[in-house]
Amino acid sequence: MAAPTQTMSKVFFTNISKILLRRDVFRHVRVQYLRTSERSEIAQESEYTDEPQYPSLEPVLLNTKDPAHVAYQQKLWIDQLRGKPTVQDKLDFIRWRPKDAWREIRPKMKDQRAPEVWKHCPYLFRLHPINRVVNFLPYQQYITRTTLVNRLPELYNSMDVEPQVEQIKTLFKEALITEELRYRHDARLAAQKPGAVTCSVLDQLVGLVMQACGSKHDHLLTAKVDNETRQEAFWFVGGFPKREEKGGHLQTKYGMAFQYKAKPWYLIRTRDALPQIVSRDDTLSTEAEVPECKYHPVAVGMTFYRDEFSMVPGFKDGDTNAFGLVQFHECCEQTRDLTERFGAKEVEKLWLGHGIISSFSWLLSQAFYQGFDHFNDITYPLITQSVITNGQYWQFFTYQLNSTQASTYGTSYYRNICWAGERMKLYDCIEDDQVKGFNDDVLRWCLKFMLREPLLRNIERNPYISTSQTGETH
Amino acid sequence: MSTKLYPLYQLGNPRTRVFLPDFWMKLVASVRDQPKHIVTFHVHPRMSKLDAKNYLEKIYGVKVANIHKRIIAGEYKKHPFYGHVTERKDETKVFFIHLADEQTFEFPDIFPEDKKSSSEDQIKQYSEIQKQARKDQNVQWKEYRPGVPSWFSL
Repeated sequence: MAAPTQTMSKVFFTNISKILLRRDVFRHVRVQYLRTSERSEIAQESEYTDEPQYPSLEPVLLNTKDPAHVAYQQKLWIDQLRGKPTVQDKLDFIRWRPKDAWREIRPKMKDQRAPEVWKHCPYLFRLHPINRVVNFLPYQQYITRTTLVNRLPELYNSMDVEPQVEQIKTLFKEALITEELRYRHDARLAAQKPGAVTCSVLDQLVGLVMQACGSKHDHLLTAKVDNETRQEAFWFVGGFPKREEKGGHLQTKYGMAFQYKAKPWYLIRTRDALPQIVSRDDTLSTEAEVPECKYHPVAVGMTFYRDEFSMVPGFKDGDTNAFGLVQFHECCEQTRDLTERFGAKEVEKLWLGHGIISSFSWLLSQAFYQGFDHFNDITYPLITQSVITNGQYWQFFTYQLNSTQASTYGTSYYRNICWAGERMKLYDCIEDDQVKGFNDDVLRWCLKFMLREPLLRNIERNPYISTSQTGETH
Repeated sequence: MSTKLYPLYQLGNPRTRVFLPDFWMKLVASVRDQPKHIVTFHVHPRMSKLDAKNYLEKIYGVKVANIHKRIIAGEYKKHPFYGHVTERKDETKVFFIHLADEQTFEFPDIFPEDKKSSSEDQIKQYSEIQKQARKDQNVQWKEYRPGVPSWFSL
């Protein structure tokens, strides 16, 4: 009796294997047949058309780990994200939780201190303007995919700001002396904030420039100036090597999540965007070098926490002035004791990193508020200029964001570019009611940055946002 | 120093003693890939960052820029039937030391592949010799004591 069962099973399995093979061949195709009523309707309307219309092809859910299938699912998700009408909808879609649920939980959590609520939040690696990490500059470049150029672009050389410099110079010197002496004589004022002097000097500078040049330049007349606003952005970086031992990789489903949070002293925003400095097809934005630091953020010395993602460019959705012109950062408190600990060389690198991280994340958040995101790339490059001061030392940066996708999946090959000027000394010292060794170049660069006209008007700014929601088109 | 007590009386009351610190630092290979300017140490659990910095700078002359710390929890041993925790192992304190002045350090390869292969060959040879010896023993047993169980011997 044993022999016939064996033969039967053999026959059965051969047939099955044949069927499976056929199924394997047509695995990715599923034909959607129409119902008879629909078929008849189509036949009545138009039997033949000039362009044939086929039903969409979908891969069948046989092997979920198949890379083709995964890619198809990702593409579907990204299309779904692009179709969301408003910025808030997009943000809620990326946070994989309805916002109302979070609102219900949040007050409870504060009262009861229930840590189990946090397990639904993603792991975030916090980026400050200056992280207290040694040799951090290549890592910052890697996670933002920026190339560093150690000079400012040549387009500023053609700008002539000599009359404005002479107009402001004496007034600015007086302001410097008065602010310095005010804080020197009043210890209580100086104790409030370490960088209080530089903040008030920045107040004076911005006020002077706006008064002197505001009436002659339209972009300054309509510009909005914000003081100490939130500047927050998050993004994802993939491709870090996983640890073999057991233990959390601390990753979200989009990749390693980085969250930047800061409060710059001044943000100046204009209606129109700045024109591009280098085209996106240039060799600098396609083939320039970016250092590869594929280290886990924990290994580098960063700390993680759990919270929701936040994306704030310093204004609310639907604001008329949605493009950044200049940002002024004050870094007295953050770099106070760093020269003793890290050394002077390391501090210079940290300033460069400050410029890269702050301008990248501001531009990213601006792009997000125009309807682009980490997965749907920007259609035109975004540019901003940033000034970082210590009171005595000043450094100037210009940044061009070529793609928001740069740091996520590596599908885009664009590099972001950061032009960094040399760190300049504004004055040697202030003694006997006089500024000694005053440097005009700092004022000149400040004026050049603020008087650069944004001219990008005839573009489709937000193709992925429905215009009825925002109500603004230019 | 972690202990301030004077050492107890010992037999013979030896006068000349060397008091070594209770602190210790053990240089280990890191689990994750990390940049070359970072070095990992397992340290005494009561040692602080400042202690480690002083220890390296003043005794070995290695400049330290920054230190970050991690405490790895000890393993729990659970009761096989009831499931409650019966024993917990000690925690380990790990210091990640960031070297200043662009110094770098690479953990040496303690078990290189050349030595590994030679030792493995030796083990193989030894096991082959053992097998041969067992075979010989079996052959002798079959020849001289056929049909007798193995425990039957003098």
